Amino acid sequence: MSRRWHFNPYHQRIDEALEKTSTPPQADTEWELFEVFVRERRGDHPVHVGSLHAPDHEMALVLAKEQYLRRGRGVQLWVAPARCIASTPIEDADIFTHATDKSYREAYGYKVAETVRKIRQQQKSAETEEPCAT
Amino acid sequence: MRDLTPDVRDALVNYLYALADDELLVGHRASEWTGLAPILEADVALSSIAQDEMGHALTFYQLLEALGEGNPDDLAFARGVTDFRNAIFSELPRGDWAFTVVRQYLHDVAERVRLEALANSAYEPLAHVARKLIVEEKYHLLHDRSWVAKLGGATEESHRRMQAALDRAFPHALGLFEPADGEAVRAEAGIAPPERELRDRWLDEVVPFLESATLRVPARRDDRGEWQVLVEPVYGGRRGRHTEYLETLLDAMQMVYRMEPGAKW
Repeated sequence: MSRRWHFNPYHQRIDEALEKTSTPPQADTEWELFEVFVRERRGDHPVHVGSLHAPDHEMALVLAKEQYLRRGRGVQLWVAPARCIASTPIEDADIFTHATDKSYREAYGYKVAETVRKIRQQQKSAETEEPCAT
Repeated sequence: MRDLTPDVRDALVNYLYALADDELLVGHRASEWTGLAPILEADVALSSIAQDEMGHALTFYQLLEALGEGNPDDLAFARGVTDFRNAIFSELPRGDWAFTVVRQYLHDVAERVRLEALANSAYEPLAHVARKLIVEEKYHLLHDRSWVAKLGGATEESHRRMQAALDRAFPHALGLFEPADGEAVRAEAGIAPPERELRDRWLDEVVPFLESATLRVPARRDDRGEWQVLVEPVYGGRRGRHTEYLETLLDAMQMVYRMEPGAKW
């Protein structure tokens, strides 16, 4: 074989593929960019996980399934063309900072975790005290 | 199904080899695109599908192991060309992207039609496996149908390549329904329906779909509504008669295993 040997089989196959065509393949990104969201469990919010290129939304869903849910869990995928998403400029990140004390907007007074723990305790002791129904 | 009589066992084993070998080889051919697919996302998707098919093959080889045929690694990597029972369809080289998506589509519809029938097999381990594997076919078909529908009529070049791919693939795909030895025994024992039935259900689905993708299919219904195929099916695989393509495939696929059979990784 006059062909150059590569230890990496991927490089080997790329060489073989290039031998077959006269023009090298283009790094082509004429496909539209889609942002991908995954809903991990029913009732969860869809969460942004990344983006990919696809010819349309149908292929975007098909390809995103493996691109983003090859591993891990999910029950639903959303895709949206990136051009449909509007955003604030990153240079304007300061619009989210507070110049004066706005702690009155926080829920410091509500000790939710403690209350939930108390309720769960009550439920547990209610279960153990209850006599078994025949 | 309690104890298998020898002829039922043999008929079942022949069938399982056919199923396992088809999965293994289609999976292997799909994996040959890893690193070379037209676009990165398609590469990842097809590579995953290839792994799924390997997983299916493993499941069938494990059924064979339970019937005393040997361990799956030996079955996949130590058998020779004439021992394989895949349809010649599965050993053909991967071709261009059009041929790959056409083959994957025709294979996946055949697999789904078969698994749906086997979900009611009288041989419970096989019925159990069929019910499990069918879940993955849903995505395979979603993937394949999207590609075929889009490429079928997109541009002059894509249509030409897709039609050429289908012209080459279709007679070979009919070989998926060549009966493995023991078909009458299997039908009588309730293990699997006759191939003819599965072929007709397959045609019911692929012909209208391919035509809707603007492709010509050499099959039509006659006056009685029966399917007539207008090409000669490529048979032989179920009898261990293969092409030189299987030789080169096995040389590559079995090379590492054969260097040191039974090595622990």
